[in-house]
Amino acid sequence: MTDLQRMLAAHPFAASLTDDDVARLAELACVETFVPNQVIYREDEPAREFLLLQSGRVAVEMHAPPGVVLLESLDAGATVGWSTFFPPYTWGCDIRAIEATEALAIDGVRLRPLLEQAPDFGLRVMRALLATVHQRLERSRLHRMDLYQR
Amino acid sequence: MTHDPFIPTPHRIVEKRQETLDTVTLVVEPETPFVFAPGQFNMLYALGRGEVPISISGDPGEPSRLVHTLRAVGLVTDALAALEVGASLVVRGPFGSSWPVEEAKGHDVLIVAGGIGLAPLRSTILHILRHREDYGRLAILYGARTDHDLCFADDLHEWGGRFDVEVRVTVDRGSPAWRGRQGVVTAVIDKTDFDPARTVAMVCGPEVMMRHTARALRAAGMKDEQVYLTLERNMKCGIGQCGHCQLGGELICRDGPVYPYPRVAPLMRIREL
Repeated sequence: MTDLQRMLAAHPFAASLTDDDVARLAELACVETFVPNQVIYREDEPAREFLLLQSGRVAVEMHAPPGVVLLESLDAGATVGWSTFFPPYTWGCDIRAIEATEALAIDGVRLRPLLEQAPDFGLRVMRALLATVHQRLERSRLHRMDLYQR
Repeated sequence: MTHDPFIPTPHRIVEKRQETLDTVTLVVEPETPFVFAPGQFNMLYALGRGEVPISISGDPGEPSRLVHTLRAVGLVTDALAALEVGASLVVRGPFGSSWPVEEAKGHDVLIVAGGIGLAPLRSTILHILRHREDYGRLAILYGARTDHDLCFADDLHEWGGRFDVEVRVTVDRGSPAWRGRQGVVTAVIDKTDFDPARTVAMVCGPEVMMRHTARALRAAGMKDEQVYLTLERNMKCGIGQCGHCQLGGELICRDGPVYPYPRVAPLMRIREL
């Protein structure tokens, strides 16, 4: 196993993936680092990759004049950048590093045709993605309830 | 001399801390030691207004100081929150069950609190810190509405600075100056270092938050039997006589407020209750 494969296999996103799946994804992966306050993705720009956070913390933000609204913060273990999977393949919001952050960046442009060509692999990746979307949707619902004001 | 829970006793307020805009901590020094267990509550009487149940948020190992933290959300709590140092605070108690600090000895302890829910757990945290060698890892997960709504901010800083406590704070909506986590408290459970097989979880907050926390703890590998939470209903007498706080077959002031989750989980699912 390469270092990239080991990093990928240890991430929650890969919990239900096979070793072969991890090896395939690792071929499309590289390590990226971000400094505090660095804007990683900007709304409406092309979504070419997704991130598996290894350390640090990022903010999911929405530009809402006259400022920016912080929607959620994500720590190590989170998957960031679902827009790379779905048309029109542009970011739906901004992602900014809050702290020094390290992530595995996976090339979504090269991954997309592989998901079509190998449906078993595609299904497992989509299930992994759906699990993280499901978890974040549940949290968003709770968030919307404004629990502590009740 | 023990305190008769039937007799309201006036105490002079010696200290008042404004925790947040609407939450205060009131400290009184009883003439005789006020012995209580972590998680128990007192009935506090605002003269001419009425009585409300308020958890004891102080250190059980320091019975000469009786500490309550309350949020001003109604007629009685508004009056209590307006009391200043030197005023009289009328107390009746202590009542109810306590957090399982004896059962948790030798285990890791996971504290999950939301909003003012940290108040009844603060006495447990102080107890564990006083008897630190009796427990394994201690993790405190705390969620609040905003960074301005964090109760016990000084305590959180102090606990977070210790090498033997893991503190994770998250807010629903941070101010522009907030550099910490933003999101619901259940989201930090899987970021926390604990062994699900040897952990006791103590949870306090809004009921929906506690339900979702219990679900997240189950997903993390804990059994429901390892989870304790505290319920709140319309407590009046404090001794299980009036029935105002009845939930199914439970009289929360007497049988609770702290329960093992499996005992009350079915009741929490009944929408008519």
